[in-house]
Amino acid sequence: MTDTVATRYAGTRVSRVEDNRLLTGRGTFVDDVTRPGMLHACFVRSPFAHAKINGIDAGAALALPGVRAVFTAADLNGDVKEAWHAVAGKDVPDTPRPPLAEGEVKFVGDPVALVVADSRYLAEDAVELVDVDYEPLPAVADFTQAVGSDVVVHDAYPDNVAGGMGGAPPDEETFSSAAHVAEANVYQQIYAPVPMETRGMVVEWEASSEELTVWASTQTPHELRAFAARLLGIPAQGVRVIMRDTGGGFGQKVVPMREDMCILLAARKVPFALKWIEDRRENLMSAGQARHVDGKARMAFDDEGNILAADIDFTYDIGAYPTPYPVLTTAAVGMFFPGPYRVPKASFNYKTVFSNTAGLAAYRGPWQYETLTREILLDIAARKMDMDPVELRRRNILRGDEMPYFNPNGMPYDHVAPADTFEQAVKILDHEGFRREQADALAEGRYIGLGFSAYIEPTGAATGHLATEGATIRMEPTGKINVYVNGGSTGNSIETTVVQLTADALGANIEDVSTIQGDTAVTPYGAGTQGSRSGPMTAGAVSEAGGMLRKQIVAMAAHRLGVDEDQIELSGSKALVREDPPGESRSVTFADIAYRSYYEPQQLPPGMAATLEATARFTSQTMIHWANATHACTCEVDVETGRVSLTRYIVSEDVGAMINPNVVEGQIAGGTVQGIGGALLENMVYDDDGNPLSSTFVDYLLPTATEVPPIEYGHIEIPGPGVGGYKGVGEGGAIGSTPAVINAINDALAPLGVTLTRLPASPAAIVELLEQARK
Amino acid sequence: MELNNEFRVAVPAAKTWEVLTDVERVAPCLPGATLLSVDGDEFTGAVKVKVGPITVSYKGNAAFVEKDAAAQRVVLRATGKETRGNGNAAAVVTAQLKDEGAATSVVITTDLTISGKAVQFGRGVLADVAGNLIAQFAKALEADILGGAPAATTAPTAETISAASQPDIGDSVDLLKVVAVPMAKRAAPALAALAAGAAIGFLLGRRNRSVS
Repeated sequence: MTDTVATRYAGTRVSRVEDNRLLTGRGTFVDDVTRPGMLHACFVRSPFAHAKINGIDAGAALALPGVRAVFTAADLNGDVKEAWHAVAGKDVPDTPRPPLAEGEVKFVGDPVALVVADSRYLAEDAVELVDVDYEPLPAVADFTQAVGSDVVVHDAYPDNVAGGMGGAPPDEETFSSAAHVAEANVYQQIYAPVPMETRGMVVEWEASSEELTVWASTQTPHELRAFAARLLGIPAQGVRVIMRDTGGGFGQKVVPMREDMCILLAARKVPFALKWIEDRRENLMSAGQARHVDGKARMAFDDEGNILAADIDFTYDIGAYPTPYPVLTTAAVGMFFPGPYRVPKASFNYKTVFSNTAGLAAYRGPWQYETLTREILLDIAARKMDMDPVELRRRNILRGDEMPYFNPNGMPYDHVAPADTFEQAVKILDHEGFRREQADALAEGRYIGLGFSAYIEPTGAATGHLATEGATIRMEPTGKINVYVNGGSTGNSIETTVVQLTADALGANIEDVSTIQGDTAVTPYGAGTQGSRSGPMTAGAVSEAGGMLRKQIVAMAAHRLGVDEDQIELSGSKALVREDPPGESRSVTFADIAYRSYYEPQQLPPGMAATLEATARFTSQTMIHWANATHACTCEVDVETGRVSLTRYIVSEDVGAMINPNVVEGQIAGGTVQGIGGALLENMVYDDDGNPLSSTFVDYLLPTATEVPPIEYGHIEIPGPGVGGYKGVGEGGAIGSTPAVINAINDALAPLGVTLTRLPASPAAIVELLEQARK
Repeated sequence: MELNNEFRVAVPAAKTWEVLTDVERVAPCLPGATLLSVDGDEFTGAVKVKVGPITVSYKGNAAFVEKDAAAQRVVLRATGKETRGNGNAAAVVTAQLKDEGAATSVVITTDLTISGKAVQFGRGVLADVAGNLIAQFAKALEADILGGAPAATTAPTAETISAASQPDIGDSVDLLKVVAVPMAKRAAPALAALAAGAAIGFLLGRRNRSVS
């Protein structure tokens, strides 16, 4: 570990190093990769939500010139050696996940066969010629009807329940004796990550050397490599994964899914590289669903509004083929339900339930339902107690001087002060001013509202393979520096932040530092972009490798300048003697040091290694880096049309020390907009037969700049316990924004006696509630 | 999904029954349908429909599962498969005739199951589409009974005029156009405003050009 390193770049708004490449259209996404003789894959997908496959006739497809192969489950599934994911580990009994459908299809979009052809056009034409004899079966598309339904999704789960968990049972005595109890049923619709770049990969198998090269759109190149080796039963050293640019993942590209397995398996059966690029309709139908939960939450309060107990009971839709294993990750909803508040007693209970829909996949802040229900419930409780929601939160939110604080489910909060972000958001908003404005508006017959949402978020959790991260830093013969980390660029600006951190760690000028990421052949193992870990974990890895290399540079410089090592200071890509007067200091440039090390190693003192390279694997000593934020949103609701216009949006957040405020704000903005989409627009609808009705952007509505007001940021920087005091920032925006928007709508409509708890808040839903209230 | 439609033809019930149960006569009345083979009460056929850029062709078979002359009820079961693509359609169509003297009213109940692109892209408009198809069908049926000639495309009603009067409609029916009329009715004020705007813009444009 390095001791005190001057931070010249960390904490500043350094321009992104990715931007030149991306903004000039020179990024390299999977579809930009072309290999000699490359073949193209396209999936035959089920049109039925549930059907028996009586036979597959590929004759007509194979007769089409240019079609090389049509693979079915019989060709590929038997080749699977191991298919477990690092996030669950190899010993957890997993839910079923065959590469291609075996015997039965279980959702619309289920991959049934894989066509390989000379071009994508031919492959798509051939897909239409594959004759699958389906025998439709009844489907259960609505997960709320799935438990105990006559329709069974997987025979191994006759009640359609994959699993569940209950903490302590609710303390009914507290609930029955409390001065106030608030209760809400909150239903959230399906929405999904929708990355700009859909899923895809190019896989090339070189039979003579038994080498597999994978160009992938992924958040986890090293785990994809490990997974590929396990899947095919080949040595991992023969597998190389390369990702340069990934056009967004948001969780969808953390864990390889069934289609990825198919392409990896098929690549060994074709003579050239195999490319698969998912189209948008496939992405919306098959790349996984998220956020689909139905549940009931309760809170008990004393007569002053202090929380006495909190309870949540929910059912989580996991579709037909969840990826990864869904049962344990869902527990987080229950664990974090008490949130950033002083809650003496908490209980939770849940079931994860199969349905004939796309499988559950990870999505930015997968446990978001806890914040959604808690924050909606708090506003309902405040109205019931005739308190302002701000007052109720202020009374219960945890302060910094209460840390460390164990929430009733045993979560050890520390290095965080939720009350600080809350009060900052209240101040930026001018809460009292808004209430006056609201009263004036109401007098004119206009309905404007204000919604808050506060949460505490576990970032950079050091569980399993997520606990470590590697870095290699190398000074080249020119004195320029390259830093190699797993990365890579998925829109999270990790190239920029790694360059900033490395420049500071070595005292280099930032323009002398570059980074190479995402290529498993040259980067050390890392767990990739997930769980808001890239910042804190990569900072740790850079700090350790940087400290080792720094020591070596200092030793070489001290010898060269004839002073003791403790006299050397590294700054501006130079080693200087600290005591020398400014302007007259003895110094040696990094270029000189590197030249001597590479080309005149004989000049080094005896016993000194000529190495200017260091590799370290950082192991986090911190179990969780707790981040926290408060969102505040104002809106106007048109009570005739149900249209919601957001007027202000404020996020006050604490992600510890910031490496780059631009990057922090960019991450918050992106997540916030996704949550706004979930509150107002995005909705993956299935009809009763399980047909997806929003499989294009005509029906699946994404938020645009039109729906989103400028986002105002407030920063609280309470240093985290890890290296540099950095905490994670990847997911929070997407957790906090949905309830803030819903609460603003409910605040606006409160005078009309309307409370919306069934999402999304579409104009039709709002109008319907208003009509019901009028009756 | 269940669709309910009703039509009335100015023909006595006995005559309507005769045509409605004769597949060779009734098939040509259905817009976009082609009869391929008949074997007693079972037959094969094809239907081609277009929704904007998407053309869906179904090929399949159908059979009368009930022809109850006393109850004046016909039940037809049909299943079809997209000829390109992997969608399917299945329908149980029940036609209940009601004798009204010189005329016959027919209540059609369709239990429709569609999978694939047609339902994913078109579910919201399927009821409108079915209503229009049946209206066209009724007119053609009436024309057939009265004139003896199949006339799927020659009996425009006010509502379906834009679709039915297309000279090049051939063997397919453009669902978008069929749908366009009911949609246009709802959007008429907006369209009128747009049209007015366009006309003013055109005049201004001309004036500017003539000045310069």
